[in-house]
Amino acid sequence: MNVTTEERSGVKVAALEGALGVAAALELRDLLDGLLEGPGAKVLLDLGAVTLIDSSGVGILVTAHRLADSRGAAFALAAAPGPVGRVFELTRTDKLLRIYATVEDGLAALAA
Amino acid sequence: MAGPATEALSLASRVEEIDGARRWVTERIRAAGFGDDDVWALELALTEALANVIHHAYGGDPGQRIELELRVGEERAEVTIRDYGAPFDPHAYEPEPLDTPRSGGYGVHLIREVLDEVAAEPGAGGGTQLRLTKYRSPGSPPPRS
Repeated sequence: MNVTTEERSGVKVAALEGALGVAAALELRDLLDGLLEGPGAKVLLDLGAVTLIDSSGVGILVTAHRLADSRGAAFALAAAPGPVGRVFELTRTDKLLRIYATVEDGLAALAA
Repeated sequence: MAGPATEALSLASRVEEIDGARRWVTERIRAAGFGDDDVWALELALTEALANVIHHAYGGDPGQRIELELRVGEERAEVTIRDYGAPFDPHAYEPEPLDTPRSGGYGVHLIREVLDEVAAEPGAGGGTQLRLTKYRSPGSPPPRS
């Protein structure tokens, strides 16, 4: 998993690349824990270059969503490729996670 | 007509080995003309199944072996995963309902959802032999030889 982070309109945007699988689980968890530090943190994950997500990756995103709630932070996902979105649907986590079609849509929602 | 091509791979019971095993399978089923949806389904199921073997059958012990056998034919691709750890039968395992999103436990559910067949049987001498089958989807014919 490769990560590129930047700040746009007060939102931390992290572009992930590669597989969000069990081998990258600890790295992803630590990344999100750090990005979500501090009340009012706004974090958007750009999933556009993610090739695969498995149940451990989904579980970490669910944990991050709850962590954001408990810290008063905002956490959203954007640009999930079809197979990634399908895993969210199959696990029904699409009902919980904030998922936007594009990074621009996610930025607009979080920056508001 | 030639029968299914069969190849084998042995890997250690470490999560760091999963990406390599997935690439090994992906290269071969793509070369056999399987389309994106079929490749994705087998990649996801293989990833979940290997994680289950490492975490549950072997309890996280990184010093054990996992044997993969891949059979690719015109109609289907099959991956057989052989471990020598604690027995596991995915059919006897009932995942928790998905009504409440949670931070884990989706693996067996995903394997069942994306594959056409999942079969597990006890391995001779212990462990489990798990066979994951994906039939070739319409629109991704085998390459002409």
